[in-house]
Amino acid sequence: MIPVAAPRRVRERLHAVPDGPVPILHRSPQAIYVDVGGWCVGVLAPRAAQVPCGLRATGVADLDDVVSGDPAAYVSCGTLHVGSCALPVGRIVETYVPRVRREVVLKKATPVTVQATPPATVAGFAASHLADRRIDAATADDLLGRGEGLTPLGDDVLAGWLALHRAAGVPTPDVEEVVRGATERTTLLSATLLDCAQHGEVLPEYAAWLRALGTDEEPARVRALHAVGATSGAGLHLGATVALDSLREAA
Amino acid sequence: MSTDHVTIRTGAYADSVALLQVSRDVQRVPGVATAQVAMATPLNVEVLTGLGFAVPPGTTPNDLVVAIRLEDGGDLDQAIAAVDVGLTPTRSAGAAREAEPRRTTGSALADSPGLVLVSVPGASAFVEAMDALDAGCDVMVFSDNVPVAQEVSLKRTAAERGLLVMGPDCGTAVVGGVGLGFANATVPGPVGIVAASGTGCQQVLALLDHAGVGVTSALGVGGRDLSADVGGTSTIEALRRLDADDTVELVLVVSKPPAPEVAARIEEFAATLATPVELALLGPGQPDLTEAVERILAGLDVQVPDWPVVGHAEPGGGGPVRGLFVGGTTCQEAQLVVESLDPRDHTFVDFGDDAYTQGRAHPMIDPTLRLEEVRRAASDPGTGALLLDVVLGHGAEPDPAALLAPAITDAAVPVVVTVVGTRLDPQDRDRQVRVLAEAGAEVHLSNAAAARRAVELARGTR
Amino acid sequence: MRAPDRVVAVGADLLAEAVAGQAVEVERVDWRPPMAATEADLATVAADPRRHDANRQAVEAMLAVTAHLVDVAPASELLGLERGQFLHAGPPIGWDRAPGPLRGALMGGAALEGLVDDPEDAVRLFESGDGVSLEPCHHRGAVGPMAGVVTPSMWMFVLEDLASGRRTYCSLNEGLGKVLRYGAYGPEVLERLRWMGDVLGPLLQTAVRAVRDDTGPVDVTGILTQMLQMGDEAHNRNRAGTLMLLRDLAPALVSHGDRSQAAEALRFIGGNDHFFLNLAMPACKLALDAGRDIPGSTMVVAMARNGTDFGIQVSGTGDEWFTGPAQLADGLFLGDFGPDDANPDIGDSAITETAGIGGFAMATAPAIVRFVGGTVPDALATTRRMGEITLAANPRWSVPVLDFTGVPTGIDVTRVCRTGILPQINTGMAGKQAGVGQVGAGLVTPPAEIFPKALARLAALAR
Repeated sequence: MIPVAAPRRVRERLHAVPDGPVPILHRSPQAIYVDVGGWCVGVLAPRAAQVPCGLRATGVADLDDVVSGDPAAYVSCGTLHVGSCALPVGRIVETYVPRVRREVVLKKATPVTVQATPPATVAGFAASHLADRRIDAATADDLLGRGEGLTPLGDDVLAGWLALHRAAGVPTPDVEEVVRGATERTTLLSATLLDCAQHGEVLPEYAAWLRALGTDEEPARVRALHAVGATSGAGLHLGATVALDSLREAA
Repeated sequence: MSTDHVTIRTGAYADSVALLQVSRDVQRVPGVATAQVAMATPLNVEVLTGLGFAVPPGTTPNDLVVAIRLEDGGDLDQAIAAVDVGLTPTRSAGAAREAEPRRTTGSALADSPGLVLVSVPGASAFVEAMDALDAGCDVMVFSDNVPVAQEVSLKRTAAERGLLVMGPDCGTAVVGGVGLGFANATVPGPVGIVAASGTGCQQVLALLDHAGVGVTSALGVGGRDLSADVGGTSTIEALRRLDADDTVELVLVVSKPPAPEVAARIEEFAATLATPVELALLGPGQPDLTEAVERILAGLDVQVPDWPVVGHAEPGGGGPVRGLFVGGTTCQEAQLVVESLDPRDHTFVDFGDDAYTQGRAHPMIDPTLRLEEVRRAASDPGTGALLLDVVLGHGAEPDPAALLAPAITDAAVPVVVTVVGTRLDPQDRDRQVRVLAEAGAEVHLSNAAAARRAVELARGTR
Repeated sequence: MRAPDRVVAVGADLLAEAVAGQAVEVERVDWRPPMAATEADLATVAADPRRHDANRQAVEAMLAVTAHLVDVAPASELLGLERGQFLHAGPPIGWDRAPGPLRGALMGGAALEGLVDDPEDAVRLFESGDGVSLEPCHHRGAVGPMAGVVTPSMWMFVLEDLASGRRTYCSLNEGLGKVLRYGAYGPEVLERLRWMGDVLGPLLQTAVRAVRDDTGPVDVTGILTQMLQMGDEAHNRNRAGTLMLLRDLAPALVSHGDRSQAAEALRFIGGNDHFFLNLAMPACKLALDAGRDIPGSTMVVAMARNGTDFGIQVSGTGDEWFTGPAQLADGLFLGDFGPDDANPDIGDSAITETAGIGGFAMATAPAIVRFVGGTVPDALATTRRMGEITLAANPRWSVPVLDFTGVPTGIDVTRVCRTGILPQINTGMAGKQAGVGQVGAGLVTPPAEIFPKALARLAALAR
């Protein structure tokens, strides 16, 4: 048994599904992702990206130490089991994006004092798909599912953009309408993370960066955010800065 | 008669310490009078010669000498075998043994910091807690029976270093969503709590949880923190911490009425903070905890919910209220409410009081003593109403209702129970409530409401 | 406030378990009650506002010292030791309570100084006390292994902390077997001592001064750093240290002395694996002396035994000795000797453990554990366990096999009382009869009661 910490909605999701097997979608020594009734739930070792749809197994360095062979996963009474290992939720963690005050949004024309250099792929992606640095329903439709891997870069950009609007308390119905079709067009993990972003649920690095916005700590937080995944953190940051620009313009 | 056997092994080197061990092993072989296994250094040759062994000329310090003196009937082969075994390197069976656990708080903090939770006997608590402060770490002292002078010393040191001491005698804390001691499982949220009372804090956590308001941190400070002796040192630091946390929108201080000069100090300090601070002070003429929570909810623009009541008790023959509690503050609050409404001679017992815990675990862990008293009071027709609390959360017994329900099932008198718990508590609060209600109790979430209801029931049918 | 990444739980396991169930890393301290009746004193000392900084200051002062070998000269010159004055190991003691090996060494010393012709005649001399006096080495800035007897004509190493000019002293090591420090006083013992005084001492003086003046004095602390990485723990194993010293002194010995005498000296030093011990010990004392006399500090600055009493001195309590009966070592015996032949623990050499090496550095010299039939994991565990009673890890003296962790340094009286863990000392065993010499080697601890005694004094001073 390994107690885990969980975001509130992940716990509720596990309690909402009937007891029974859940398919394992992806597995690595740092993370296991399962499909819980059409929603992706992760089991995250400390070095994995602490996605807001994950159970945090804080005390386990390597999931292979506790889950061996080719395990089956199932949910029983709201508790996820992987192989013979139960993962009871012992604590609720906050993943909601911190509120960003209006004056912080408006503070500077170029908000990021030290722009961490995004990876070439992200810069290239921005050049080809976000030439005018603006996201609306049409761009969202173009971005959704675009890119490679478990979380395509286009989805990361959209997630960063959506979460920043939650932080600023600004509704985004048009883009959300597009994103609602995500399950058909991208991986289940990425679709789940877009759902999280719509609900204002983010990675700790994203929240930490937002809290540091406009302060001396911001450059370090930007670098930490960019360090998440291959391009995911940089994608989230790109989406968020695009959102900041348009919010500032609108004001 | 004994016989000497001296053999030289060239190119066989072993450390002198290893060879001492081998010599000792061989000496233990039955029939061996004495034995020396050594490198043939001049000193060793001298020792061997001194023992009467003849070392062949021409041996060098790089040679290994095996000198064995056998008693009559001694077996040379067995002795030589012992030499060979001794010289064969052995694989250590314990090589993979885990490092021994640390023995002091100080050594456990030597390599990496951490929040320290002290629950050793009171006479030793101060020393462990001081280790935490010396390592620059915050500490919660669950232990009781810590002299007030030590509390003052601990808190003064902490204040100098910007550290937080929760306790001594701090039963409950939540730090960044992690419950310490007896704490309810909470959802993180906008309210911060500073509590000089454990079960008072738990009642607030339970009510806020029901209202859908989360608490990320509830910092216990110990029952004496706001006394004149201690001066509110930990309360000030706790307020400072919560004010610095931008997720905290409102702070509630739960305490008995402080010493007047301490109250002034706290109010003065609270006025310098960006976060609003509300006080919930338990005492005669003060609002109860449920009212305090309702005020907080209003401040957060959250609608005050109906405090749930499950089950129903009917009045009996009337009589004074018998309050049997495991929580100090739940007991005190109930007593204040009951006595303010009804001047009769009620009795209230706090089974968590020192008098009931010497040499015993706290009643939240070991319910035996209270159960006996519950059975007695439940069958006593002179009891107007039996008023109980059940405190859930981390650290508390896994299924309190299972033991309490049989004791109240056959009660001859009305039974009112406050279940202090949240939805997330490991005991499954709703099931606990259901079991108690099915046993005939009227179960409340609000302790003050339960007390008022007990007064009502204690008036009897007439 | 953020959730704690780590919780250290000391006390009820139930509470630790409740935290672990919330997906938080919990380290459980294996707390046990302290030594009997020490709770109040422990609390008083813990509350002493001077303690924390005083201990840090003591540790920093100790770790800042580098010992250099600056000279070799007779004790009469260096310490002003006069005819009839004898230094000995351990806390103060008179002839009446002196154990066999110390008596033997004093008798040999008296003969060496010409106070008597036959060592056996010295018994009456010491019994009468006429013209003879005994004083601990520690009271003169010196340390002596085993009996630790120093007489005016004995040559001594001089170690200096160049930054402060402070010095410590130690006699030259005689080798193993029948030697004065183990209480032997036969003709061969006296003959060797005379050669050391007539030949070895002057030769070493010339060489040490030449090295000092040509390339700078030998860095003894530096050699200790290296030897700890070469399997020596610098108390019962000094092989690498001895060879490194030889490396540093040999050219000067050869070029400044008579060739055959130099060869003799080199052979003597090279043939005595413990030669370096008499440099390791004063180097440790030099470091520890820097930590003395800091009010409020609970750090032990000396552990020493005279074969009858085991004594400690503590930084915050000045020169006061806290003593109890010396214990018998547990170990292996030479030849036909057995436990009945051994004298209780003796010598100033526990200064090495006081400074964090010897038994404390067991992990770096696993061979030593075989003295008590132990294993390599025992050695690792011993060094880790000593970390429970010490204030710091010495960054200069590290243990490769423990991932270059520094040796546990600066014994804390309060930690000893809290854990009941006693300092582990590696030691040689002397025969209890005067004149016998070495009978074995093994492991020993101080008598437990001296730590509560020291604690009580620290508490009294803190009140």
